[in-house]
Amino acid sequence: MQRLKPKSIPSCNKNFIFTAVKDDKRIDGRSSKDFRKLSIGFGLDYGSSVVSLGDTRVMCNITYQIAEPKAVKSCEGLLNIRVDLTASMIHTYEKVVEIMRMIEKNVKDSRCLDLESLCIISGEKVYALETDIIVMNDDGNLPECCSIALLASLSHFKRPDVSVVEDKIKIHSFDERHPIPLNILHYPFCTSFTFFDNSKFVCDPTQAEEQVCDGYLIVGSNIYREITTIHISGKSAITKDVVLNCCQLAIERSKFLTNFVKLVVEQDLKKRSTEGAEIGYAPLIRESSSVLCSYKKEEIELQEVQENYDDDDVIIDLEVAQNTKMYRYASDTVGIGEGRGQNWDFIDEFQENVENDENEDMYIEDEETTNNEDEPDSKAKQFSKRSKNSNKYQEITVEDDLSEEEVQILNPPEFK
Amino acid sequence: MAPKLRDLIITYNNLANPDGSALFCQGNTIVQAYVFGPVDVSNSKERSEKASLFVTFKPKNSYEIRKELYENYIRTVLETIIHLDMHPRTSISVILQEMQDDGCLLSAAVNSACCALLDAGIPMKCMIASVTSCISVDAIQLDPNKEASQKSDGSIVLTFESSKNGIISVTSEGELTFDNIKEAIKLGCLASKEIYDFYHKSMKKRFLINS
Amino acid sequence: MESRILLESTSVKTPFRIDGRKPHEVRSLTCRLGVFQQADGSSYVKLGNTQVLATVYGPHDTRGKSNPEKSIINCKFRLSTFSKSTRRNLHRDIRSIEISNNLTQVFDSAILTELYPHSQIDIYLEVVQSDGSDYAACINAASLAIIDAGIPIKDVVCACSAGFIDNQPITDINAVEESSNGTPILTIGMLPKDKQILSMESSGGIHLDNLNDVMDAAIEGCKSVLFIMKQTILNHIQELKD
Repeated sequence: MQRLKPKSIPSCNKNFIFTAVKDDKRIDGRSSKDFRKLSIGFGLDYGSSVVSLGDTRVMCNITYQIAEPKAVKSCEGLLNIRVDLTASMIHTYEKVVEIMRMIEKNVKDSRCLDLESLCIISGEKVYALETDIIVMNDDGNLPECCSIALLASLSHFKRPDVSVVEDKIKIHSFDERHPIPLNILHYPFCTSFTFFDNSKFVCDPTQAEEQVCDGYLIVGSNIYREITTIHISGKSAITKDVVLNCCQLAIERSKFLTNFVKLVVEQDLKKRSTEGAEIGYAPLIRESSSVLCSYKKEEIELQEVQENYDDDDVIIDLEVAQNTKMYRYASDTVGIGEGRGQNWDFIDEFQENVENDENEDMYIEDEETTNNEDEPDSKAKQFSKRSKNSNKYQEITVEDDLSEEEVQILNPPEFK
Repeated sequence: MAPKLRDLIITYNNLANPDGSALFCQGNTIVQAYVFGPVDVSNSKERSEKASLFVTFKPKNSYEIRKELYENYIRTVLETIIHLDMHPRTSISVILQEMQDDGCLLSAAVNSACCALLDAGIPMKCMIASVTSCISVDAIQLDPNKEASQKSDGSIVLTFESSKNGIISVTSEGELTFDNIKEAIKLGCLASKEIYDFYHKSMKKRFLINS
Repeated sequence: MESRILLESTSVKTPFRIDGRKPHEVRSLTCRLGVFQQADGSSYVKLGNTQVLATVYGPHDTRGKSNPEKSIINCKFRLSTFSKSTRRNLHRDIRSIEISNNLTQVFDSAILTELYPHSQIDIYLEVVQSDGSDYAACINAASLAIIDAGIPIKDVVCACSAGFIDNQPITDINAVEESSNGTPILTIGMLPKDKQILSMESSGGIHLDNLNDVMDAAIEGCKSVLFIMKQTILNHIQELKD
């Protein structure tokens, strides 16, 4: 398995993104506070989910094992979180660590999951939940997408029922007894903000914006207005007020996400309880749903741009623009113009020389050759001279009716 | 006996970053394949006559035992059919992510790898189709789901190629008699033709929409 | 789960913490510059019982690729095996890597890296004894070591941690307060003159209404720390002159 080198960003891309953000515009047409389209899908097994935030796609799987608890916390279950970025070949180990720690702090340190309910026999056997967060496509804003995937999977997951009889543990299969969902106390979601040029920030950055940004802020929050984690990094001048402002926005986003995730999970669980309903990823693929299939980008309206032009801004010479033609070479290739005639102004001396030497030149000549400077409408020659007086350019046409006699071929000098 | 394959569904190019991607669905077994290539490779892994092929199989549970086995199988199959000598000193990486497993995981992985390579436009000698059959009490079943394969005595995975209808690779588990194998090959051959038809149709459909 | 009394109110209005401090009191801070002779810059910081050693080497040639626009900052954080009461065998665990990455980011923004293209600056931090606020102590130590090495920096980077117990924001968390369940902790590393926050790490839930007070507590803590750091630097320069 090998990693690719990260691509360097051209400075014109960087400048474009910066100037666009100043006007509250982004490359994909969103405003600075808009989020991309979010869709969540669930697989056959409980606890398997795929989340798509625009082009960023993350899958999360939760499985369980029976293990010994930690010595310090003998009556609490275990939650192991693993983040896998191998599918995005341009990642670095630092990024993996950053995302993994972000998710761990957000979910584990904020105690959103009731781990005591996962205890079977205190001090001996507890449920250990193994979480694998697999990033399928990285188009920016991984912390948010990963946290949504993790919480969607946790709310979807069901563990088998357990009965303890005299030190013997009996795990009931899903057919024997209904499986039990996990007890989630609150839903902490991460929200990313990237900063450009001191205090201009943008929510839900794409990968291009992330690579180019000055600094970023990730806030984890829940609907109870608690800030579970904050991570600031980069060179931007972030002050306390900016942080508080971003926290407000993050809380709004959490409210939306909590309701969305709960709704989606409920819908899926209802589907499972009805007989004959199709569950898993297969029906989503059949319907070409945006969770698993390619994301259809919305068209950006470009008409506004033209209206902003003043007369002073027009750089193109109107005369040239009117005389320019468009040529269609193939079904998807179009060319504007075909080049102009020679534009150089000849110095008088040179012009005299040229007239004298014309017969010896390699120029293809017409019958009416010399001294055509004052006739701007003369038949076009392949290498036509442009007189000082005429301002019009001459249309170039390729001559088809040349006979062999008119073409002068000069023999190359013989080498001895 | 007409072979009965489960429903096949494919989506191409569903991920933005990789050069080619395919989401292959065989009943409820779903595998996502991505292909990156041909791309730069570090000096130690560079080969001067042909491209280096890297195959990674990522099971759903990270502690799956059969990961190396599957990777090896898929890599030997792909090395036979890709024109590696057309892109020397580069690397082609194929990553297979298991999304759902309902039996025949290895076959689905091989098929999805073929589709992703088609999507990425990597030159191949022929197409491949992989089929699993399981044998239980002298009855042979093509393309079993998880329950059926767990109850069976043995299973065999065959990979066919489209140019001469030959077999590229075989792997088996459990008890099988020679007659079982012969019958599995017969069934597999017919099934592979269905799979090639399906590739043709899905590729046509994809480009008709685009143009 | 045992409950500990972290904040005890006596008949006096202000409550006392487990180590006898008032809520906004920073622990006693002592710093020394120029601890190691062979390093270009070094420092030793003792924040209460947390002791950190920092060394800086650079700017020097890069081992591999160099950046033509600016200097590469390389920061390594290490918790000694004997720093806590139980012996630690993991050297490269996730927490250490995370702190190393954060420190690299902080000093990449604070140091004037454009002045030294095609070069590398190495910062090595070792926590000799850990008693809470490791990250904050490390930022302070690294900042002093960089100043000792004479590398141009935008401002003296100072850091302090803050928490929230029993509806009271407290400054400078120690190990006992850190390890007790349910204490939200916030560490801020900042450039004091512009009040620009370079790094902020928080864990545990802080309610938004209290976040302002907790951040203020951390920023006040930074001011106290800065005062002592500046004194140390001036004394060190005085000694060098003599």
